[in-house]
Amino acid sequence: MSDDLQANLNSSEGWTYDAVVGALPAYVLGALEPDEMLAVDAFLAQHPELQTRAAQLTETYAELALAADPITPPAAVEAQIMARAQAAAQTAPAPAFPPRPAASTTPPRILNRPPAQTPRRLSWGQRLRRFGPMALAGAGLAAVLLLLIINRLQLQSQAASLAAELQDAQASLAAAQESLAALRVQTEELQQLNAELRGRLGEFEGQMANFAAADRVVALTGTDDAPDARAFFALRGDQATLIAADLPAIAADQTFQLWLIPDGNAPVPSGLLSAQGGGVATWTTTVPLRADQFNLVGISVEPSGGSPAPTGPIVLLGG
Amino acid sequence: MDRDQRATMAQVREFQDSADDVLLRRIAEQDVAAYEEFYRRYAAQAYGVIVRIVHERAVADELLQEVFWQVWRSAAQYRGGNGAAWLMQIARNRSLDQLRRRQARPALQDAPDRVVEELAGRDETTPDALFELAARRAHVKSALAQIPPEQRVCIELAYFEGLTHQQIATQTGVAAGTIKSRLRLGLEKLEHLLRGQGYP
Repeated sequence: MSDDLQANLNSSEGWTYDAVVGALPAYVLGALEPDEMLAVDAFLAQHPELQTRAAQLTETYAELALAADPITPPAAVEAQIMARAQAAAQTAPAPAFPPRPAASTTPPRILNRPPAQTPRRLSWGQRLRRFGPMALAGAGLAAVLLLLIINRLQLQSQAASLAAELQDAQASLAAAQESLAALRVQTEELQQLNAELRGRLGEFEGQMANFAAADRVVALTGTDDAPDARAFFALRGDQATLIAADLPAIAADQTFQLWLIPDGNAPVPSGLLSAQGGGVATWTTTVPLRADQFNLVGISVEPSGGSPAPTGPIVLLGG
Repeated sequence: MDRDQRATMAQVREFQDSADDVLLRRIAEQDVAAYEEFYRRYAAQAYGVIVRIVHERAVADELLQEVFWQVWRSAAQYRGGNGAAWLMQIARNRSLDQLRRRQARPALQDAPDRVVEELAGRDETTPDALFELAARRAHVKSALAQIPPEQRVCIELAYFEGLTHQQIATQTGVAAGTIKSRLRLGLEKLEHLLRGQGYP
């Protein structure tokens, strides 16, 4: 444990409140030594307000992740991630057709026969001699009939099931044909959208390349004349890229004008930005100054064609 | 494209303007389309963080899968606020755990690519979401650029390497007390700068 933190120890209770408050940023990043982490853990458990503060710092410092350059993961990794989620999301799939009924196991119903007259009681030997051949023939016939009946019932059941399946298949086919037509229309729409997005993406890619390799990046914030406006200005050589959001609406005979403002000198007109206000707008323009030749960047509203010096309200400013 | 794929794509388009909170709520309900949109928004940034920490693409590939699997399984535990920050915290924690398990750090194998690579070949990326992320990235980089280099190095070693005061002192050859002071001052300034730009 470091000496100055040790100095903050209360002899009986451990860390002082102020020492924990001061150590919270490092605690949130996990930069304290293990024994210090445990001590702060124990302290936080008794101070909910410090837990809130720690959670707040955690969220703020999570932004540090953005200091890492983004890298597109391999497509195979994305495919594996999505396949795993798909598999997890997939509940037991409903069968395309109603399940085929199992072959009936209920034995066929046999019609009751009228009760026979009670025969005269004979001995087993007499019975065998008298009725044996007939009984055997009758039993064989009954068995054959029984089999035929069972077979017929099974076939009837299967036929009914197949008919139902056929009906479902026909309905599915009709639905699929309708879907196919709708899909064709939608595919055309998607292709158009895709082409449009590719165009916008190409433009955006070039602008982001300027940002990525910029000599200087300036965040602009809205002035009182346009409190919601915000923008980023990136300069690479003499190529400036500007991304702005929520600019105020301007009249048809007005334009936005970019100014680079050297320290102690008059603003230098640096290009006109055509926009109607609202949403997100981007521009790339050539400017007369290099990254180290100006202190502030501003955008004002000017008459069409621009002005040699700002005449309208400055809506965005940063440096 | 089959019907399922088309339906998923239609849902993805529906989600493109949704807030992270909405996406994560839907992910908690096992909605794959919301999951895909969340992946499109933040996978490149999370992967960039992981590569920066573990320095090895093959390991980063596995970690990214683990991170997003955790998102899928734990989205219900997300309590709202900042979905990207939540994801980056998972990515950082997983990566640092992996780094500590390996103990010996391998040589740098892959230098981080340029931001442009994020955009290459991605048809579905939403410009608004990208603008938002690019703006936040510019804010953070701008804030870090305003912090004195000796303090910034301490922050980066603590955040991306998971080093403690003492470990930073050992690695840089500077006294631990000095490192502690630099880290505290740097973090306070970073918080002040980010707050000034509207961060929580």
